Amino acid sequence: MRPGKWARDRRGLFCSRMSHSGHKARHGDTRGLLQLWAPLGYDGDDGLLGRRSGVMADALSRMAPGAIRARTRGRSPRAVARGGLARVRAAPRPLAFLLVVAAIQVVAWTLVMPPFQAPDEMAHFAYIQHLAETGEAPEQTGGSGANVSSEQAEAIRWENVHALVGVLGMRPGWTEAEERRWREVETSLSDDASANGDGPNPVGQNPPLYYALETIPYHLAPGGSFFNRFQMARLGSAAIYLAAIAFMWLIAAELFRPLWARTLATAIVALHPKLAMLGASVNADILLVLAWTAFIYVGLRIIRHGPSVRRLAGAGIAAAASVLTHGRGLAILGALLVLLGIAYLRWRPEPRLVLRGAALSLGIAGLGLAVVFLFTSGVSGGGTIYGGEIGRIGEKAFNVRELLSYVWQFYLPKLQFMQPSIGVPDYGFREVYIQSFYGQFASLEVEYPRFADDLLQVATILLLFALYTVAITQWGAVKRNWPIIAFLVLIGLALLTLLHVTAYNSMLINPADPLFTGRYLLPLLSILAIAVTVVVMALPRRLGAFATGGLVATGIVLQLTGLGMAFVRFYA
Amino acid sequence: MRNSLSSPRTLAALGAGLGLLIACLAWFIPYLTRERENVSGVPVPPPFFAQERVGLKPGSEGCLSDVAFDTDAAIVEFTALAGRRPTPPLTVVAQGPGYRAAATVEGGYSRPSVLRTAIDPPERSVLGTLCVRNRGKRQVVLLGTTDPRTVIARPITRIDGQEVVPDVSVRLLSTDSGTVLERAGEMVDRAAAFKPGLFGAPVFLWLVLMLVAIGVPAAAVYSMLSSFRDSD
Repeated sequence: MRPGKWARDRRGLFCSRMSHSGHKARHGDTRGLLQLWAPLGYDGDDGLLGRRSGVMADALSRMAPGAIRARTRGRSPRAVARGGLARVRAAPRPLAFLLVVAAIQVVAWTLVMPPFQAPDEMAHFAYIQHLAETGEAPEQTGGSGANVSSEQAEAIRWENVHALVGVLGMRPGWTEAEERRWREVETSLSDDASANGDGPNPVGQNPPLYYALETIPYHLAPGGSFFNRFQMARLGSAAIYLAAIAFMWLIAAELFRPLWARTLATAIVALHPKLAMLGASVNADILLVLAWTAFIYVGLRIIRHGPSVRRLAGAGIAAAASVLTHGRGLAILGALLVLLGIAYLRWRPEPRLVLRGAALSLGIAGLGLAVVFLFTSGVSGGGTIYGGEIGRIGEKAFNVRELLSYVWQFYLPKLQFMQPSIGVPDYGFREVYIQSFYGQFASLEVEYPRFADDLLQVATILLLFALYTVAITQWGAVKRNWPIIAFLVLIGLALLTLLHVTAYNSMLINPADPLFTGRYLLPLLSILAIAVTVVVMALPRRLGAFATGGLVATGIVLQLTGLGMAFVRFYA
Repeated sequence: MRNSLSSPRTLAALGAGLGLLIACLAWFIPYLTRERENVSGVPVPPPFFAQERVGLKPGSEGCLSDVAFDTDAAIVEFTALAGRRPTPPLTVVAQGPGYRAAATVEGGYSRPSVLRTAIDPPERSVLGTLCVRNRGKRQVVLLGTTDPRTVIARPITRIDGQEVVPDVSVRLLSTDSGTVLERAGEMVDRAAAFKPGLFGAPVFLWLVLMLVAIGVPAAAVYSMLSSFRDSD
């Protein structure tokens, strides 16, 4: 196979199509959506076999005005080191500063939130520890009855953090006496005390990728104390969080020409308070965010520049990472099919190349799925693949009409002919898309005041109206860019569909548990950032600049408020 | 001059500055300068799901084990739910290695009522027991909980030496209440507990807090402004 042929064949068409708008972009104003739709200028280097520099370095260097082009010219260690340094230097200044901001925030969250206070953190860490110590995942329903190791149980006991989970009136242990006693207990524990948390563990059927990655910082923890290993595991999540922000920059660079627009889109992700908290938590959801953000980036590359071996493999790898991370990650398979379909319609390659391209990306994703099947076949839990929400699909027959009624009432008021929705009354758009998407930190108990939720809800609804207005007023641009828009909308729908179906299934068994919370939407945060940036770009230039400042300030205020409230909640 | 004032960069700075100023005046300053209760420790929190009654007969003593008494634990707080009138007097005893403090609650309090009694805090923090003895001739019922996470937590409730399932909800308070700003040092010291190595050094936590309070807004705003400069 000549992997470059497809893209090369299409390059002429692509360039000629784009040259018109590209010209406008260079010479036109920077106010309207034309700027958004104008491509960045295809450099003729389509990332095929002859290309040496990495995708990331290339993208970063192309995106940075006046930045050094980072290309590795040789393969000697010195050259590689020089190349690495050049890549770091090539990072645009706004991105570098946003990464610094994100790093400070995420470290602060690791310090402010006591151990095991993030959602399901006890179970996630127990999984990491058991995998790191024994090479095996804990069992979901079996095991010896130890859902955490003896070491973890003692740490929880002496820091008194078990009763702390979700209970505002509780405080963690902080006295010297408790610390002293913990140190005595820790030194008296046997080696087996770290390795005996074999289950049952409620996340025991989660696929292993996140936990396997986390065993690296777990083993790298200096000194070997329990809380050192725990802190290092949190910092492992923090590294994943920072990588997701870097991918958001790459997405923005694919879509927006002005540097300020890329900065705004990335700032929306970097300053998102719930994402920062998740980045400071031991929880597989953060890897799901990275997998989806990377997938969206690669998908945009495919749609805008044409499929190549590397891009298709990238999409397959991101999809495999998603299914290997969490049951909710399965939605990416639908998103991958959507991507391949749109890429086909956009580029119309020969059938032979279509088959090869699809086989490559779907094959890699399928390989990930096969690994999960192999992995879970050796784990207890009734033989179902994936645990938790996904594992419940099919346990009870569901009624399509009831499902549609539930989804309607989740977003909109009940119509007269409808039965009351299944599940918790009044649990819908506001609770998921506003309250627990932006706020509800730690184990959901640290909440923004009501007026802040009200303002966020109004802003979110205004955003939807603004997007609609932009779409109507810029209909030509929408039509020209339908592949990008369709891709973003449909992958969003893929995840939302899975979330609603699994929530509905879960409520058939336990109506009191809606099993749908705001952090499940974070893999789509980059799409929200794109939407906000599109609206701001459509505003008159001066108003757009003012709004950009206001949005960045809002992100800062939400972030500082979240951190401050958590600090007061735990230590005042 | 007029051009520079109406440049996108200036307007973005204005938008950010205005947003931060409004937040400081309307939200941050009132929040940080509000007087707050100073919780010294919570051996057993109030019920979250499962409220339970823990009865103490005349002469009975209920004790919580493995309670941490910090050096500012000057008030013991618990809740009496019910009891026959007149409500009985109670004795509260806190003790640990090298530490013993006792206090009394006079009878005749209303029901239900949150009872607070002052004790002498220890000179250095200790782990010990906290006991409440009914000195009256009638039973008193204290607020307890059987929340699953609480009952498996460290303190264990015993009545007259016999372990019981519900734990009595108890808080220890300091007399040094104040604003978050006034007590920031104490809160940082608390946050540093159980943190490993560098992360447990109060100076490191202070550094991170300063970076959050000043560095995050400054770097985020600079990032945005530099993007306008480069775009110009």
